[in-house]
Formats: sequence, structure tokens, C-alpha cells
Amino acid sequence: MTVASPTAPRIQDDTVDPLADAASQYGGLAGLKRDWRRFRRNKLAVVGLFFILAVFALAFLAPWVAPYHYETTQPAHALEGASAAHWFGTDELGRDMLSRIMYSARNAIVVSFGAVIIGLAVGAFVGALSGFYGGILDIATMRVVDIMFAFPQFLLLVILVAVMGRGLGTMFVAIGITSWAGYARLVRGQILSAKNNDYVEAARCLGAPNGHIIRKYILPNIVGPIIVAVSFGVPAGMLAESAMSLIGMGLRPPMPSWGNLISAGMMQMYGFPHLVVWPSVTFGLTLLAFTFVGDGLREIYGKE
Amino acid sequence: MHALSFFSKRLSAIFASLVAVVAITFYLMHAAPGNFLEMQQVREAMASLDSKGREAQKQYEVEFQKRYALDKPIYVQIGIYLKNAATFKFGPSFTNPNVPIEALIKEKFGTTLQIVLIGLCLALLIGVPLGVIAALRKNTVWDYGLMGISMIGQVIPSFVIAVAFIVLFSVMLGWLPTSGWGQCRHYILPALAIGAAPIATVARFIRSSILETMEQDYIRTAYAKGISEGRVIVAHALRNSLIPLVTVMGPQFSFMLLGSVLVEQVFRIPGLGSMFVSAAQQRDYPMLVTSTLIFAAAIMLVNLIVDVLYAVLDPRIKLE
Repeated sequence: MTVASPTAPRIQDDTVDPLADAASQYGGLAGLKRDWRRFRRNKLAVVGLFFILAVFALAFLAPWVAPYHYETTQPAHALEGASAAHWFGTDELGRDMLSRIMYSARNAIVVSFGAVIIGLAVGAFVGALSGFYGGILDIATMRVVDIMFAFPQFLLLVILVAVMGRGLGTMFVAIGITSWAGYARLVRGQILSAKNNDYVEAARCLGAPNGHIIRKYILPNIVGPIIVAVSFGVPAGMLAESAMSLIGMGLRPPMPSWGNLISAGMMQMYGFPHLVVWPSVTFGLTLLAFTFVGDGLREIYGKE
Repeated sequence: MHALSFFSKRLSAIFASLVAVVAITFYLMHAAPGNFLEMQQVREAMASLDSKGREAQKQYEVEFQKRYALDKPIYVQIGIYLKNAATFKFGPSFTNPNVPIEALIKEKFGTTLQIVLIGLCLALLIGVPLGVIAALRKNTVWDYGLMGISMIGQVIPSFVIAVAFIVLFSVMLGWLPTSGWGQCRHYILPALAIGAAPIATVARFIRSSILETMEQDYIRTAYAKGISEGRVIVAHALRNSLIPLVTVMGPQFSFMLLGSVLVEQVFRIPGLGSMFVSAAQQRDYPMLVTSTLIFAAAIMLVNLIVDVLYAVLDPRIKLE
């Protein structure tokens, strides 16, 4: 963190801006290093982070590292238990469960990140406008947000998918649409509290334009809470995707999802419990790991 | 007349929200490509039924639209629906044209409410003692173990817990049925699955609330009087934690009500959640709107009740 120089800060130059540096608690490499040191203290969060990284690696590399493609059927090897060739066994069509779970993780990640990006983009935009400009715009958008909150999220999701048809694309659009209101409320609140800070007033006195104030002074300060919100939004998106697939309104089979693996496994539960156990266990562990990381991030960035 | 203005304000907010929910649902369904009559099974059924060819089919379609007021502009449809809904009349559904929806709702919502209320009781009956034990044995293996398990219970979604219970208690141990409805033993696993997260939430809340209260002066006074630790916790610390617990239970109720949609699927329970899902799958719009409305109304009413209850229990709280 640099100390403000005695000469007047040059606001127009983005690279040298002591005011912004003083305002930003989170920016820069030094900030990242400090955050990592604090994050590291929470052992569970570190374990969770490494678990998530492993899941991400397996998911993204699935086309190359998965032992089989998720659609590859081997009728001769149907409904087998664990073996060297099929670590998690096979389903009723002889498809490798490990591969299908890896692709499930991949789909869950694509859907949840896509949903978070859409929800955050819409929510941050709406929240930033209404928080920064206030007035009638603020009142109007907050009414819309209230209505979104009154509508139970999961029900709206089901209705949206019933309307748009199921599939990978509609999944993350629908989850994004149903989740923007939370981000809008968060960003608006953060902006309202950041707006009243002295350094924003100082920048305004020095003649900084609105866009500059938002980018340089307000955004860096709301990054922390947004990171925390995203770290909880991603597993929520995964949960929504699996829940929708569980009730047959998510991804289209044969595309695997934790949800439809579980609902398919339920059919074979008596003879072949591995078909429902492995998807449930891997899904549960992934959600748990996200929660650990989210809690760790909240300890660093969260404001009560 | 403070309470009166509170009620009129809250009730009108609930009314406005429900109207918004109905309107949004109607507009979404209106925007949807395809409708009930264009669905594969319906088409096939109609084709096999009528021998007079396309003319009769057209006739049927016109009658269908008239019957459900689908030929009117959408805002008129919404108006008609809301007017009937005010007297708890929802007309027939697409898939079950001979039974009015309100009759189905009464039966199905009763089923769902039973599971949710049993889950709620479990949350209190199991969660509170667990929280007290964890607080009594603060920073011991008991505390860490209970809090670890409750963390898992909070994170793992109810349908995965439901699956785990079925595999454990039905498949491996053979104690309880995997699905079915009507008998006592059918209630146990669904209620436990739906109540797992609330149990964990209540336990964690009670623990932290008791530990916080233990810092208070009146607790030191109670100790100074020579009361045993167990009695101090139960009679002094726990009693003060039970009032804020009411505010914890409100969100838990809506959480369980929405979770029932999935848990009912796993256990194949014929409740409101199952009805909602099948309505969405079959594009049965009257049923879809109505079940959405009932869910939303139940959640909002419970939130109102929780606020009132809190103000009644704690005179320091003012209704706003």
C-alpha cells in the first residue's frame, strides 16, 4: 500500500492513483499474497480448495483422461461392480460410472459457472445502477428485486425450464435468471455503503467522473463480498442443476448429470447400490468442499 | 392501532406478491412454444379417439380453449383466475378435467404439510438437545463431532440425504420401505431426510446462542446462587435462546416446503411437490399456476406468522 504523495494525485492516469490504492483493500499481488496467508490458516478451507481443484482438473480434462466416453456402451459388461477396468463399476448399458461421474462434474461446472456469470452480470449491473444513482430508478428496480424474492426460486426455475425446454443451454440461462436478484441486492448495498466513504467524496471533489469513481474506488471495495457470494453461488448452481436433472427437467440423457445419475441409480438400488452411491458421494463431497472454501473466503472478505 | 396497520401493510404486500407470482407464471406459460394439446400423448389420444377426422379434432380444440378461457387475452385470463382464486376455486386441470383443482390441492397439500410439520418437530426435538449437549461439552470431541455432522447435514441437499437413508435403512438394513404412502412407517425416512438440515441448523444455533448467553451477568448470578451447571444452561441460557429460535424456524419452513418437491420425487410421495413437477412436465398450466400459488402463499403466511409470534413472545420487539 503506498502512502498518498504530497502532490495532488493525477486522477486521469489509471496507473498512478494513490487514492485508489488507499481505497482498495484487495487489489494487487501483495493483497493476494496476504489473502492467501489468511486463507491458509483455515485448514478445512485449504483441503476443500485442493479437492475442488482436483474435481475441476478431472472435469475439464474428462475428454482426455476419462477411461471411456460417457455414451460408450459395453453390453457385455453391464451392471458390473468395481474392477480394474471400471473403478466405479458400470450401469445397465455397460457405461463406465467413473467416466459418467467425471462428465457430470464437467456439466455441473459449466452450468453453475454459466449461471453465476449471467446472474452476476445482470445483478451487478442492475444493483450498481440503482445503488449509484438512487432515486426513482432505485425504487423501481428494488420493487422488481422484491418480486423476484417473493417467487420461490426453485419453482420459478421449474416453470422457466417447462417454458424454455430442457437442455444444457437453458439450464444455465434459467438458473442465471432466477439468481440475479440476490447479486443485485448485494451489489446495491455494498455500493451504498462504499459511496459514503470519505475517499469517494475526495475523488469527487478532485473532479473525477462517475465511471472513474465506480471503477477505481467502489468496485475494488465490493470485490470481496462478491467473491464470497460467487463461492456460494457456484455450488448453489450445481445443486439446482442436479435437482432439475433429478426430476427429469435438467440435462437431456444420455448427457450425464449428478441428478440424473442418482435418479437412474435409484431404479437399480436393490441389486446394484453402487450406481446410486458413487454419484451421491462424489456430489456430496464436492458441495462440502465448496462450503469449506466459501467459509474460508467469508472469514477473509466477509463483512458482518 | 399499531398492530392493525402492521397487518394491513403486510397482508397487502403478500397480496401484491401473490398477484405478481400468478402474473409472471401466466406470462411465461403464454410465451412458451407449444401447449398441452400439442403434446405427443395428447395428440395420439385425440387421434385414436375421434373417427370423424380433423373436423372433430378442431371442434375439440375450440371447446378446450373455451373451457379454460384460453381464447381470451392473457390479462383477462389472469383476472378471471385471480377472481376465482379469491374464493379458493381453481377450476379443473388439463390432465384431470373432471376433478376441480382445489379438491386435489387439499389432499396433496395435506400430505406435504404432514411431512414438513413432522420434519419441523424433529428439528426441534432433536436439534435443541444436540445443541445443548454441544454447548455443555464445549471444545470436546462431543462438540466437534456433533458440529461436524451438523455441518454435513446442512450442506448435503435433502434429496441426497434421502437417497443415503434409503440405501442405508431400506436396501442394506431392510428396516423401512423405500417408497409408498399411507402407513406410519412411510413417514419416517422422508421426514428425517427433509428435517436433516433444519435439525443441524437448530443444533448449531442453540449451541452458539447458549455459549453467547453464558457470558451474561445473570448467568454468573445464577452460578453464584449455587445452581448446578446443567440447570443454569437449561433454565436460564436455553430459555433465552428459544425465542430467537422462532426466527430461525421461519426460513427453515420454506426451505423444507421447497425441499419437499425433491424429497417427494425420491420417495414417490403423492404430495403437492409431485403434483407441481408433473404439472410442469405435462404443461398442465392451471395446475402449475395453482400449485405455485399455494407454495408461495404458504411461505409468505408462515413468514408473517413468525414475525407476529416473535413480537408476541418478546415484548421488546415492535411490529413494523
